[in-house]
Amino acid sequence: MIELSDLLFRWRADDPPILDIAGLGVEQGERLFVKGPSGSGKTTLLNLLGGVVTPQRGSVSLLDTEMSTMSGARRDAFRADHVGFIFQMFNLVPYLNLVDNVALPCRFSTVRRERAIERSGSVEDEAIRLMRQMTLDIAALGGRAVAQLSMGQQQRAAAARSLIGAPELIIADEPTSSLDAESRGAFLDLLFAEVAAAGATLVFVSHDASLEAAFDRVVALSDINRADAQIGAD
Amino acid sequence: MAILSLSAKSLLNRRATAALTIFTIAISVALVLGVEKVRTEAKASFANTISGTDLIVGARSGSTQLLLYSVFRIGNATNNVSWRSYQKIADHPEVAWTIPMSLGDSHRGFRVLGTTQAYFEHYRFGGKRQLALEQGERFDDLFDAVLGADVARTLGYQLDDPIVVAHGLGREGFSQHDDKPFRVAGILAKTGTPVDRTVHVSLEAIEAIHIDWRSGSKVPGLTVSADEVREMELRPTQITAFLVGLNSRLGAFRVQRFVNEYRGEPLLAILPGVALAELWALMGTAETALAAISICVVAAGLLGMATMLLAGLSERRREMAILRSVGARPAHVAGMLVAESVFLTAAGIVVGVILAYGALLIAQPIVDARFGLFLSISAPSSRDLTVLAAILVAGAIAGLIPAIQAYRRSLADGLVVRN
Ligand SMILES: Nc1ncnc2c1ncn2[C@@H]1O[C@H](COP(=O)(O)OP(=O)(O)OP(=O)(O)O)[C@@H](O)[C@H]1O
Ligand SMILES: [Mg+2]
Repeated sequence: MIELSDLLFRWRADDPPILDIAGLGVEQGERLFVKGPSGSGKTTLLNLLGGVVTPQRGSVSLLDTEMSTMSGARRDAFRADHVGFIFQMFNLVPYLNLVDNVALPCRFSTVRRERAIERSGSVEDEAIRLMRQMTLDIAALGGRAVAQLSMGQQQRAAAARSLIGAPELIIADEPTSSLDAESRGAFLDLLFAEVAAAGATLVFVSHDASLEAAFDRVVALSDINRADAQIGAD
Repeated sequence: MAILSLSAKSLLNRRATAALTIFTIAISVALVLGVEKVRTEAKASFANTISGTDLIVGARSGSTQLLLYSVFRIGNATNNVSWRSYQKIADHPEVAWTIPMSLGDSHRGFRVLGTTQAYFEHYRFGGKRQLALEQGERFDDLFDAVLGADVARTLGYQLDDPIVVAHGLGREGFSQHDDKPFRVAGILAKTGTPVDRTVHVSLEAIEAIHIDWRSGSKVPGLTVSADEVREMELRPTQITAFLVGLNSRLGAFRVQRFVNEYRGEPLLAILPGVALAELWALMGTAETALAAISICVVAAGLLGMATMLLAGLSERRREMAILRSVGARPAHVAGMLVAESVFLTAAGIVVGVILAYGALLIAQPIVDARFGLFLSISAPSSRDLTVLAAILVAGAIAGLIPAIQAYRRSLADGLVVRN
């Protein structure tokens, strides 16, 4: 599913490398937990997996497709089709309503739009179905500005969005960090259930070690990352 | 396509700033259209002031000066044309008709023109249109006056009202020819030319009211009453200028040379079309300055829009990062800002056109009354449409400024915006 090899990445040419990884593989359907302290390069790694940036050296391949040699536009299209993202916060576009936010990936990916339509008849219906799955009461929340939703509701909407159109890879960047302990557990359960139902692979990044027990595999970034520069680590 | 509705929704989300920006652009668009309107109408009315006249003849001076005082009633002649010379030229075999003009007196700010019936016969304006009487008759009696439309309207004159002509061109308080009042015999229909602001009397009447005057003031002790003057032989000794119509246009240069080489006194003959073009070229500088100012105002409006979008970018970095994560390319993000600029500019143009027509509706009677310029309300000209299209393109180009910035940032930011 994911294959990293001999990867070297720095944000700017004159910075020391943030990541220097000999190899990392993730199986189809696997749930991987990546942990590491703040500033260690977790989010940077996810940028690489999503094809938002390319490594200076080495390769990143997803679904047997080498991304580091693709053009920027091809990588963006590839990400649109195959990757769903959930972030720690600010997941929703403020001027779109809840349904439009969840349906957003279908604007940029025909594959995902077609799958959503196949599944529920229309993109909107699939968005609503996924929100129901994520226990979002769309009747009560649908009319509200997304900024007025609670953090937990926003994160569940973000999870629904990452799942729409069934992308093969779900990448979550500390999606539970702004949730309290109770909703954290509930959120994880829902996410796992939906990821499993979709047969997707999950790469989950966090510095919260208490979550790792629920995952198939745990990787400490510091164990695989030979770069120790961590400039500006905070 | 994905980004167009996103841009629209994003703008709706920022209604207040968007509305202000649209309004700024609208004002600049309205200004451009207004300037363009005034320019074209002024040029048209200018060119329409006189037509069908082949030559204008006056004492030798500048051709622009001659055109200004004879046609536009602006400024004064420095010298007159003797009646003898006038008749010599009028008798030239190629001359079909002449309109003698005697200027120099006024009535409450409006010029008085002494002329003959030929004026009503042969004067043409706005293509081939002849002067028409709205009410009453041409002057017939010695002390009859025919008013231009604006004179009658502004001063509220009716037929048969008495009017007193002032000596010279001052507004009020000048010596009045009050011993020989005139009667309003006719009122001309509106022409949109300086004729509207002219009081017309016969050449003999001009002679009559000056019979007891010498070089600008009354001769002491000499009074000739209105009744006495009717009995006298009133033959003008000089006129200010005259308009000439020829049997054939082809003779224009020949007759012009004949006048310019006339030995009796130094005279000047001009071709109205050529003189009008020269005068308009003279005003070309003002025209260019106006156009430059309105271009600057539009540029300021569009830069204001770019500033507004650019300032909004830092607030929108997260939004851009989300769009990137769902597969938007940096080019999508940039395109979104260009689309927003185009929306704002297009809306500004629409509102601006509405504003321009609204302003035209309000200004039309005022400009007509004060400057004698009639601004017709018509559909935008093809030139207007070209200008509007150019503004739209300029708006899109101005949108490139925030677009490029957004493009760079979304590349640099990656998926998570760090503060
Ligand atoms: N867009 C960027 N441009 C330049 N440098 C960046 C960028 N994003 C991250 N960095 C740098 O890369 C290093 C790793 O940052 P990264 O965000 O990957 O850490 P992280 O492990 O996700 O930390 P956190 O747990 O705080 O999210 C930091 O030193 C950071 O300053
Ligand atoms: Mg991070």
